[in-house]
Amino acid sequence: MKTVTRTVLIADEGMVLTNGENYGKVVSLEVGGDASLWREISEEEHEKLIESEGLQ
Amino acid sequence: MNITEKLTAIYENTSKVYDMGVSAGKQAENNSLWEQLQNGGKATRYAWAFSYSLFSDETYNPKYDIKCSEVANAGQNVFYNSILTDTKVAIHANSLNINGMFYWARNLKTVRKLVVIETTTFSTAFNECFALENITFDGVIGQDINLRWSPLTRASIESVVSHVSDSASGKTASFKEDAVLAAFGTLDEWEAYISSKPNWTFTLQ
Repeated sequence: MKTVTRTVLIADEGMVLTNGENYGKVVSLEVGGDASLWREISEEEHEKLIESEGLQ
Repeated sequence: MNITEKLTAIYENTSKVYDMGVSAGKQAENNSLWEQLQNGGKATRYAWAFSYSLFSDETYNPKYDIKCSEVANAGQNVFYNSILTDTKVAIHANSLNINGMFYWARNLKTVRKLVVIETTTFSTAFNECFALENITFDGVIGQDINLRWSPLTRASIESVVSHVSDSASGKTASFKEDAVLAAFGTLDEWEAYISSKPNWTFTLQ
């Protein structure tokens, strides 16, 4: 039997987690993923970033 | 029957036959239109084809699956800002980049079947798909995919997760938190479900 442990990051209220490319309030990292790559930003900052995405 | 009744019956039957003829004519016209639009099923470049209000649910009646070629951009913005609610046919997104394919299609509730390959990139394909509940995947999802705007059903969420690549690494699939909790009940149940894909990062928003 094999047990796999996945790190789950949960953002504080009003915050969103990001690794610079992806976003989430709950982040279930791939097994072996590096949690230090993720940081919190405010929801307001996140919305501004999303709005600036536009069409590529 | 008296004369009046007979004439009434004749008129009503004639009207029915006329209406049937009109309907058949419209159907034939529609088939002919889509036969030409989709080049007998051989069309492979659909960029912007059904965007904005070019087509409504009534006028959008594809005869063939939508098959995008391998050429870059062939599948981009196909349904961008579309008013359609249902894609009606399968979409074969062989195109390497389907950026913006359903971007801002705010009424779109159902994507019948989206066939992808491991190198298909989604970018903003599902941005602001606020009404999307049903999507069925076929093939392999090998790149980041963002469905955070969409109130997907459990079946649709499962279709995504079950089709993510078993060999990819460093890739992320994002979902709407409310949709996942409505489907799975608790984060623990969700975590148990995605444990079958340890090589993927999943985010909820």
